[in-house]
Parts: sequence; C-alpha cells; structure tokens
Amino acid sequence: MRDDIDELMAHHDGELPGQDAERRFDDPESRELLGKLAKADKAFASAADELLDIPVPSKLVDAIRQPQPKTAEIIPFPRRRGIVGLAIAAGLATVIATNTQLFQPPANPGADAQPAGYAALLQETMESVPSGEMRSSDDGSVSILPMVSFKTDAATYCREFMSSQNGAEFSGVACRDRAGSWTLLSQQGGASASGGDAYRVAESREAKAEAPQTPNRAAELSYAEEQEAIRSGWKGSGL
Amino acid sequence: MSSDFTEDLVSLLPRLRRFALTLTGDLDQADDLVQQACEKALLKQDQWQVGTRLDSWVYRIIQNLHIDQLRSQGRRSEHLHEDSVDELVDAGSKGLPERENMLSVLSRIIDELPEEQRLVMLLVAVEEHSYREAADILMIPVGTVMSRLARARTRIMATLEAADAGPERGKENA
Repeated sequence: MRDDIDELMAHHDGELPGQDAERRFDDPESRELLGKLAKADKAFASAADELLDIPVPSKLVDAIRQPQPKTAEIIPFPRRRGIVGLAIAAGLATVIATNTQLFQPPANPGADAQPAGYAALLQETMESVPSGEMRSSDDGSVSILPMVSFKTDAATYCREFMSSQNGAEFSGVACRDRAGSWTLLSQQGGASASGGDAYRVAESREAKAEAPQTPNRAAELSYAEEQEAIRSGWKGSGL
Repeated sequence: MSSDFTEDLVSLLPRLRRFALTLTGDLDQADDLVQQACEKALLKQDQWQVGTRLDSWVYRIIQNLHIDQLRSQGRRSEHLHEDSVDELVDAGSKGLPERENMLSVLSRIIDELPEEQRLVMLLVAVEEHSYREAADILMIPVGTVMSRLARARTRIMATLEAADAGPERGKENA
C-alpha cells in the first residue's frame, strides 16, 4: 500500500479540496486506486442501503410519537428494600454532609479511597440521568444508577440510587438543595465486611448543626414527572 | 414537546436503526437503543442546536447509550482500546445467534468488517459525514477515523478483487 494512502483517501472523501489535490493525484496509479475506492464505497453503500428497507416497527414509531406514561424504572436490588422508610421510621438523625464530606467513602474496610471524580459523577447523574439509566466514570471504576425519584413533604426532590465503587455496592438517597447541589442524606450497604444491610449515615460534625428534617416521601415521581423535573432543572426543589 | 422535532426523529428512524444495527449487530438491541436515544433526544431537545445535523446528534446519543450498556454489562467495548481494535475481526458478533440474522440482511462485505470499521464506513462513505463529524459522533480522534477507513476500504477492495478473480479464489481469501 502506498505511503500517501491517507491523503489519497482524504482527497477521495473531499477532505482535501482544491486544485492542488486534483493535480497531486492526477496520475494513472492514483486514478486507478481512486476508482477502486469508489467501487469499494459503492459496494458497501449498496449493502448498507438494504438496511434502510427493513420496515420500522409501528410500536417504535408510536413510542416516539406518543411516549406512554410509565413509572420510573426501578431496578430490583435487595438492599434497596426499605432504605428510605427505614431512615424515616427509625427517626435517624440523618445528617447532611457538605459536598466535600459528602462523598467520603462509606465505612468499608478494605475499600480503596473514593475514586477521583465520584462527587462530580454523582452530581451529574442525580441532576440529569433518568431512573434506570446507569452512568459510569471514565475508567469504569464507579457506576451510579438512579432508581427512583420522589418529592418530600417540603417539596424537595430526592432520589434513591445504587452505586458500585471498585466492586462494592452501596445504595443511598440524595436530595437537591436550593443551590442545585445534590446532598447525600444516607448511604447503605457496601462490602460484606460492613455487615450487609447495615444502614450508614454520612457524618459531618459541622453539618449536624444544619441537619434538616428527615425527608418524608410524599410521592414518587412517575416516569413522565421525572422527565419533566429533569428537563426543568428540578425547578422548585430545595432543602 | 415539539411535534416538528418528533416528526424529524420519526423520519430519521430508518437511518437511526441502520446506525444502531451496525453498532450492535442485532435488530432487537438496535431498536431498544434507538427508542432510548429518541426518548432522550426528546427530553433534551433544547440542547440540540438548530442548524446542526440532527442525525449526528442522535447518533452520538446512541453511541453513548451503547457504551453505557457495555459498561453496565461489565464488558469493555473494543472501540475504547484504539491500539487493539483495528486489526480485530468483530469477535463480539462471532458465534452469536443473531449472526444468522445479520447474515441474512447484511452482505458479506459489511459483515466481514469489524464493528469499528463498519461505523466509519457508514458515516463517511455512505452518509457523507466529514471526518470531523464522524470523529465527534464516535468520540475518537480524526486520525483514528482515517486509519479505520483505510483498513476497511483495503479489506473491501481485497474482497472485491477476490470475487472478481473467481469464486474459488474468493473462497480462499474469505
């Protein structure tokens, strides 16, 4: 293969406009290769165009034209059971941590330090990712899966999520404050060394003074309501 | 929700499905991806810049969703490893049941190409996206787009030449 094949292809693809390129590749060998490239493209396009003939299912068209209201996707997860209810019923002194303290790794003997970027990933995921869709860090070491969104009696939006960090799984609840930050109210589970379903609370001595009322779950959001909340930037929410 | 935007998406469906099918090699998975991508596009339609290509934007959503799904399944997408993919045959689709369906739809020319090479061929050679646009959609460097194109075309040209040379030789080179 000739050394300037990339340039020849770029010329073929119109990425090298101008007469200089025309002159540069105006020799018999180049013209022959350009002809072969065109033939290869035509063969591929002919095959690819067959895919356009596959009938589009009407259910797909309908799903786009008329999205059906559905409840937010809730992923079955054993430790999820009762996570919020447990916090409420037990009247736990749920503590709000500052954003810095918020994402300290939960007590998890043997676990490495929280991966870099976790806080940002959680903020981004809570803010914009619908329930049931997972987001992962670039290196794949951390994944966060929102499970359900709900509104508290105080009209604050909160979200339950599941998180996998270096192989250990946690679930938690985060609520959106007036400044637009998602604050972790509780975190549960993790490595088996933590005692399975032991409920964990993010602790912060400074934050204790600002501890809010434990959020009561007034209503879970439907899929459509959650979409609207995301679209509007969780308008009206705030601790 | 803008009805025009919705109808624009609907009119793009055949091409969105083709892109997703090229990505996954499975029609059911492709339709799931397309539906999720369209729902996301509708939700975030205010983020799409009027005057830019809507297909490019939705392609990228599909690509992102696909990467997320691979990650959630614990798989590393081959196209995340630029050094190793270009010479690979599409091992991900070998032996899968859907490969039978794939073969019934795609010609051997397409099917023999690795997923990464199929995608750049589809975007550049068929849909006439620029190298820059293809790179943005696939989230890879322009240089990688060019190298994948070169490999794809080299392989297709070899297949065509083998076919032109005769069935027996074509089989030997298959």
